[in-house]
Amino acid sequence: MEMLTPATAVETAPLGTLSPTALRNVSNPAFARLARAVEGRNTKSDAVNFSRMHHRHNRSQQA
Amino acid sequence: MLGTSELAEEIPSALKPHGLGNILIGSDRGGPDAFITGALLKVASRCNLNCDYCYVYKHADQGWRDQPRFMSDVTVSRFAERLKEYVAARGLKEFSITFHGGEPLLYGADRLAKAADTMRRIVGENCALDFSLQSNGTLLTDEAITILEAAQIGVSLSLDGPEEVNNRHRRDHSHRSSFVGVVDAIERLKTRRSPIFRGVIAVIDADVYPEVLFEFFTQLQVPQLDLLLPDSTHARQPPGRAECPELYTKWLRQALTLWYTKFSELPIRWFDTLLASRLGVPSPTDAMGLGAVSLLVVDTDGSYTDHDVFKITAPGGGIMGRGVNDASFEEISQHPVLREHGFRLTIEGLSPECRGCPVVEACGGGSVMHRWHPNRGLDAPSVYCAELFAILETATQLVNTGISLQNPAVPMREVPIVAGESFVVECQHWRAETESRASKQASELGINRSTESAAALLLARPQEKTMQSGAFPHRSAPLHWLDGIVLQSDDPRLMAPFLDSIRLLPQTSEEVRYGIAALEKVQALHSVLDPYLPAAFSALISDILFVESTVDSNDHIFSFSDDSAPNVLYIAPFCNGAPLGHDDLGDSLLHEFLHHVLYQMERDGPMLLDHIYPRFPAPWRAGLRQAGGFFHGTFVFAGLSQYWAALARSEGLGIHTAKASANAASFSEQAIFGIQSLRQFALLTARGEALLSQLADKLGVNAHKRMDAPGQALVG
Repeated sequence: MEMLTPATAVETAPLGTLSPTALRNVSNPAFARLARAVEGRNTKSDAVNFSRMHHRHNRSQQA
Repeated sequence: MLGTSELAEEIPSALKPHGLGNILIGSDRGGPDAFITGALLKVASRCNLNCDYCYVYKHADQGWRDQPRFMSDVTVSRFAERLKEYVAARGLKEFSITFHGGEPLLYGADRLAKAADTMRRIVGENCALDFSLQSNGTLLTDEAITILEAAQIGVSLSLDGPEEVNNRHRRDHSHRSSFVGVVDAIERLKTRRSPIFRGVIAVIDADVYPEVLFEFFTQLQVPQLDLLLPDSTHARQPPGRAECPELYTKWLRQALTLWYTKFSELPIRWFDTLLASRLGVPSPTDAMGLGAVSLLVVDTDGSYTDHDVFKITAPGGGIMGRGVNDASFEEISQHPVLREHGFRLTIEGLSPECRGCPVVEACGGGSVMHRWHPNRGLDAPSVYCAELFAILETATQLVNTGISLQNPAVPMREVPIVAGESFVVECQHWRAETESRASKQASELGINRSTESAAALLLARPQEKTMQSGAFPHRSAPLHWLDGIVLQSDDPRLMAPFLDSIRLLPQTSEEVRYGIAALEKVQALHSVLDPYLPAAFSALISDILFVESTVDSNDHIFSFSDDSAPNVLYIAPFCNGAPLGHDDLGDSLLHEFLHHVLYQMERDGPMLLDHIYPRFPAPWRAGLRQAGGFFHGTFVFAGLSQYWAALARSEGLGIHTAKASANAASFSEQAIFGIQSLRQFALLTARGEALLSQLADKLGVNAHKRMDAPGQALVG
C-alpha cells in the first residue's frame, strides 16, 4: 500500500515580498502553479506583512 | 481473490499486541494535541496484490495478520458517531475520509458507497465529508466507477510507470503483472471524464530513468502524480543505496531538473511543493515540512493507530491500544503516541542535526517515519536526509534561475567589508542619497529644511504636522563625535517609532556620559581594523543615540538599527548595570554601522528576490530568521569577525586577546555558515551572489564549497 497524507501547518505565515505576478511572468507551467500556491498563502487571513527591516542585536557578554 | 461479503470477527482493540509500539523511545515529551481533520479507514486488511515494497505487508509490523479481513458495518457506524461528536465539539465544517487497505475495493464499491452514505447521514449536513480511496486499480470496473461517482468518492490509483517498470514491484500473489488492470482503470476514468479521478501515486525506482516515467505519465494524462520515495528507515536502508550511496540524490536532482525543463505541465505534487517551499509555502503533504498531526487511522477492527506508515518502524508501530468502541477522537487526540508524533513535527522535536540545518523549515526532518533509527528512535535525521537536502538545493536553483531571467541584474560594485579610502567615498555617496531623499520630502511638504537629521524627517509621518521639520530645533550646541555625528539628539522623531521597546537615556545619566567618553577609545579600536573606518563612520552616520531596552533582559549587550531610520545607531552603553568594555562598545557600534551599510547597498539594488523566504535557522539567534535578516546577520558577522581578529592581533591597546580570538572564531564560523546557507538555499540576485563571494574572499573561505546534509554522517 502507498500512502501520502495531508499535513497541517500550524504557524502564522508572514507574506513574502515576491509577488505572484512576478512568478506568473515566468513562462513555465510550474511557475503558474507556484504563483497560485503563493497567492493561496498570501490570502490566508492570518498572513502577516512585514515591510520594515529591523535588526535588534542582543548577545551575551564574554568575559 | 477475496469476496466482498466476507466479514471477520472483530478483535477488541484492548487486546492488540505491542501496546504503544516502540516509537516512544527515550521521550516523555509531547507535542500539542492532534487536531484531526481527516481519517484513513482501513476497510480491508488484505490485498489482491503482493507489491514488494508495501509498508503494510513487507516491513517490520505484521499486525495485519491479526486484523479481520473487512471493517464491519458496526465499526463504520461507530466511527461516524465518534466523528459526529468531534466535528460538533470542534466546529469543523469539512473533514476528509480516505478508504484504504489493503485494497479498499476488495470491500466492494457498493459497500464503500453505503459506508459513505452512513457516515454522511450520521455526521449530518453541518460538516462536509470529502471521501476518497487509494486503490491499486485492478478492481475498478465501469460498474464500480459508476457507484463511486454517484457516492462522490474520489479515486487515487497506484501505478509506478510503464509496464516493465510497474512489473518490477507491483505483481499479484501469483507473480502476475497488475499493469494492464490499472491502466485499463485509468483509461476508463479518462474516457468517462470522471470527476472523481484525483491522480496517481508512484513509488520511485531509482534504476529507472526519470524521462521514462515522465513521458509515460504525460502521455497517460493523469491529473496529478505523487512521487514517493520507497519507505525506508535507518534500520532498513533504501533499496540499492548501500551499493550506490548517491543513487537517490542523483536521481532526484536529475528528475527535478528534467521535469522542470521538459515535463512541468504534468503536476507532480512533491516537485511543486519543493519549488513552493523556497517561497515559504508549507508542504501540503506529510512527506516533508513542519506542522501538526491532523490524521487519524482507524484499523479494520476499529482500533485507532497513528500514521499507517509507522508500520515500517517496528512491530506495533503507531498502535495506541484504543478504538472507536472505547475512546472519542478528543481523547485519542491527546494520546502520547499522537503527541509524540506532533512533537516530531515541530522544530524542537527534530534531531539536533536537523535543528541547525539551513533547510529545516522546508524539510521539517522529512517524513517522520523515515527518521526511525534502531538506537535513536525518531530523534534522528531522515534516512533520506542527503536526498532532501540535495533536491531542495536544486529546487532553489530552478526558482532562482526562473525568476532571475525575468529580472535584469543590477551590477554590484566591489564593496569592501572593512573600510579603505574608496569605501569612505561610497559612504559619502550613500549619505548624500539619504539627505537628498529627506530634502525631497521636505520640499514636497513645503518645509524649509534646517539642520536636523535626515532620518528624523523621514521618520515623521506626513499626516502628523506636529512631527514635521522645524518643530524640534536642536539644542544650541549639540554634542558631536568625529566632527559630524550628532550624539544623544533630543529630537523625539528619532525615538517615536521605537518607544514600545527602547528608552532614550538622559543626557546627564552615567550611562550616556560613559558612552560619550568611551567613543575616543572606540575610534582607536576601529582604526586597528582599518584606519579609514572612523572616516567611513563620519561619512555615513548622522546620529548615535544611547538607549536601553525596555523589553529585553539587561544581561545581554543590546543595540539596534532600523531601515526606516537611515544612518542612526541605537546603542546601549551598559550591560548588567556595568559599562561595556571599549571592545564590546566598538562591536555594537560597528555591528549597527554594518547594518546601515547593507541597507544602503540594498537601496542600490536588492540582494534577494524575496526578503522573507526561505527562512533560516541562525546560529546567533533562536528561531528562524527571514532571508533578509539572515543575509544581514551574515554580512555583519563577517565584518565583526575581522574586527575581533584585528583586535586579537593588536598590541598595546590592552585587548583581552583570548576573548578577541574567541569572538573572531565564533563570528567567522557564523558568517561562513551564513554564506554557505545563502549560496545553496536563498533566492539570491546577482548582486547578492557577488556580495557573498566578496565576503567569502575576505574571510579566506571557498565560497563554492558546498555544505553537506546534516544527516550525511549518520548514513555514511
